[in-house]
Amino acid sequence: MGKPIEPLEDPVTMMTRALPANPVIEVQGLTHDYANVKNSVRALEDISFSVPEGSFVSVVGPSGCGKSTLLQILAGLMPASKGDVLVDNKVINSPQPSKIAIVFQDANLLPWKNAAENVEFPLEIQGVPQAERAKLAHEMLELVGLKDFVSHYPSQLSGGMRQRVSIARGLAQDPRIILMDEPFGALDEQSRTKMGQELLRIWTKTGKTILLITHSISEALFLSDQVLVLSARPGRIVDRLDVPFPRPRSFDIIGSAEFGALRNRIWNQLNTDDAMGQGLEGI
Amino acid sequence: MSIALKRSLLIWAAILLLWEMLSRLGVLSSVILPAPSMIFDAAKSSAGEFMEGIQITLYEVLIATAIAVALGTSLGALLGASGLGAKASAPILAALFAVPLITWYPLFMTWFGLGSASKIAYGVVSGVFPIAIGTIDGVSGVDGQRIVFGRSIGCSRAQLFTRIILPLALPSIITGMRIGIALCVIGVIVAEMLSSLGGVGYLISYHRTMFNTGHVYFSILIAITFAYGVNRLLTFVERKFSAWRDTDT
Repeated sequence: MGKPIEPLEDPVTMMTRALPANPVIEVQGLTHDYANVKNSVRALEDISFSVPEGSFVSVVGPSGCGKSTLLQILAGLMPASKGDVLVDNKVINSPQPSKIAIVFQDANLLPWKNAAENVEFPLEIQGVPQAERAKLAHEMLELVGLKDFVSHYPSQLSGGMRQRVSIARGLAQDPRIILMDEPFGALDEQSRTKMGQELLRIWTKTGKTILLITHSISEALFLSDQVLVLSARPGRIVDRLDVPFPRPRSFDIIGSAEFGALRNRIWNQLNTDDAMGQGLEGI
Repeated sequence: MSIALKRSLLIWAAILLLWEMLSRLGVLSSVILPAPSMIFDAAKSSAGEFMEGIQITLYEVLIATAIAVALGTSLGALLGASGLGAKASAPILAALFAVPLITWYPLFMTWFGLGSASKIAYGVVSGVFPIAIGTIDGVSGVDGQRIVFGRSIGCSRAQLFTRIILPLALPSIITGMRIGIALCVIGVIVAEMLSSLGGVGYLISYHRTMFNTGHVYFSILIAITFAYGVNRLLTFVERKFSAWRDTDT
């Protein structure tokens, strides 16, 4: 614990990094180049990691670390130039709504649908019968604490509430893994902190596997079992660390020396990579 | 009856009364501005003729609107969905829209004849561009994240379009339709005035040559009512659909 783990190619580290359960998602040597007529830009380079069942893993990186590229490849929305993404040992090369749900930075709700209808929408596309999806939508909204807001429209909800609807929508798909793309990035700090706690509560209750992409080092450390640190262009994994704090976690850990040490370590990883000042939040 | 309504009715009554008096006293020439009573008489004496005119215009407007909306939205959706298409076509459409279309009307007559077809065709070209432009704007303006979301939940291309893109583009499409349909109405009436066999525009131009100023004014009144009615209806629809346009989700 605490010292950087070598890249996965090293067979020894692969052995020593015993995963608690079988990985839900496994990423192998992901490299992606954006090519146009004149030149090609490498967005991601040799990304490999796996997320064990039921765990909470975060990817931290500066702006321009290719996180949206990574997200789209993980979700099967875009093929990678090289490498594979496996969910339950099956290669992902097209969108898999029953396996992967995405929670976006902007809640991405449909404004003409109320909270319940928004949660139902992916199920409707999947052809789930009306009664069943209505029941599920109510359950999920209750789970995220919006029992009294099922008939509210997005415009009647606060930013944090919209994001909860979006999380409920992701959960309702009953996916194997939830990908979260900077889900609280648009919220003010107080709501952001509250939503972090809320997310932990929901995660504990559902036991879902979560992969969170974020700018915020503290958010990643507070929430996750494991943090992957991505460098700026091209995005490479420069560090992976297991977060030692026992659960349930309280805010007190944020002030602890250990937390500070881990935060500094990540901060330095990003710094040495010349990623400083590229939209990184140190708090 | 509200006070505001009472007041506006009173004002209108006063204006009509003054107008009638000035006309009867010979201050206003009845050829230039006939008295309200003359306009009313014209409407009464030629009620059948006016009814027929309204029917013809209504028929032409409805068909022209249907074609303009169908053509404009499908053209706009097609161009708007391809990013490059939207960029390439927007200036061309805007330029076409800016050209005085009336210069083309003689050609429409040669192609479609003196009857309703040329009025409908002219109405369509008058209205189709704003509708197409509104649709292009709406469709190409849909946030890419919505499309990523749609694909991630397994929407087919058709579902992506009908369930996500089109509803999001609707406010912009309806704004285009409000302008386009109003221009459609104007186009049809103008075309009728130039040369035709019937319709409200035809009545305006026919009675003008006969110096039946009362008839001319009543026809104009009908045309205004048409345009006003259409505009009110579409503004109402627009307001209803634009409720979510500004909400940030």
